[in-house]
Amino acid sequence: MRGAWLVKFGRWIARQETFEKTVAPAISDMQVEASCGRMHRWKHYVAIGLVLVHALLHDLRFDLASVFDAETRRLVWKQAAIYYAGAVAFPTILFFLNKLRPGLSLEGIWPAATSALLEQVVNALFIPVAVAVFYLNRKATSRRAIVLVTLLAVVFTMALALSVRPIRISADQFLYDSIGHSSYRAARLDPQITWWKDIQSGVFLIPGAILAVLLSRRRGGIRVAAIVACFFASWFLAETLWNKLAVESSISQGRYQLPSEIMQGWRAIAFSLVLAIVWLTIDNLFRRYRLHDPS
Amino acid sequence: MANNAVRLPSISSIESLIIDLLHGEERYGLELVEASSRQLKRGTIYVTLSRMETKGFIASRQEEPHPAAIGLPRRMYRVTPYGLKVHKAYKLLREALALKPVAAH
Repeated sequence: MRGAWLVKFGRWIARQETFEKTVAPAISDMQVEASCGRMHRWKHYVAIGLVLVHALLHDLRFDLASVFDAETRRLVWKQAAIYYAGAVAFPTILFFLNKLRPGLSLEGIWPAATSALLEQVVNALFIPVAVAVFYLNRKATSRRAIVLVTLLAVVFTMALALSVRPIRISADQFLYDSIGHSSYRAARLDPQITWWKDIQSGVFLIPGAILAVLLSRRRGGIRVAAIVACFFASWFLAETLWNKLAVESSISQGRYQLPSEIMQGWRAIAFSLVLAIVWLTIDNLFRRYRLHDPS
Repeated sequence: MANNAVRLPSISSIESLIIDLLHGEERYGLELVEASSRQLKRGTIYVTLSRMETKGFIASRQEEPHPAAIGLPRRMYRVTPYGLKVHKAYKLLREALALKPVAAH
């Protein structure tokens, strides 16, 4: 059947109602034209492309409204905000106390607090995003809406990290000049490295969101904790295997170079992303198997 | 001021054209494009039809699938009495507004 893949693709990207009202008529007309042998193929494919883009934009607008409605704000975003407040407050206090080193004058307290807070405000964002995705998925929100929320959060995190960057760097610079502690090493103040790290802080939300989808399919704290434990155990195993096979073989061949801090960051993101996708795929296969064989 | 005013329905010139084309008969999307002598485009007709259906100007149904037919059944559109009423009202309004003012001496 001509256009069968378009039907599948259309159903995948659009809501049922949008598909039936907007996308299906365009595809069915193309199919009729094709059977009459008078189809200007490229013209109609362009038309269907435009219809699909419109359907996607229409549904994204609908999804955006649905993930920020009053009920979702109460059930999802309130929880996310509570977790975020906790994830910012406690580590900020710990990092702040860690920055109060002997030799730091009273003037250094404000930069120490600013540095600790701004770092945590950005780094802790993966917690509320994971919590939001967790509850959105439990609330049976559409997959498209969850992807949209995650991508918006990625962009927001990057923008936030880049906007607070000058203040954070100047606070770190003050602390480095005052006490010269190793934790304020030049790499932390390097404009290029800090810029890439800020970008990475946004991208790092994606594996967290995938893991949250996986966790939301489990009921009960023990099951959720077991999945988290399994995920980190598999991370440890994969990391050990990687070091054993790839790194040690390069060292033995004498061509090993320590990757830069930026590369290490990307490697960690890629690693967690691949692992999260593998876990999600295994879970999907398992669910499909159970669906076909309920016994 | 109390916000209890009834919102007037709006109809664009393209929507008016579609209502003209659907007047008295049921048609599918491409048929409308062909009948409009290139005033309607393939890329926008389905979106416009969907919007008009949401507004209540037109109604649609799926065509009975022919036993030998392949693919999805076509969607046939027809104008609703409400759509006709709005169309007529706007036609009158357009005609009234199109009257040229008397030139000032």
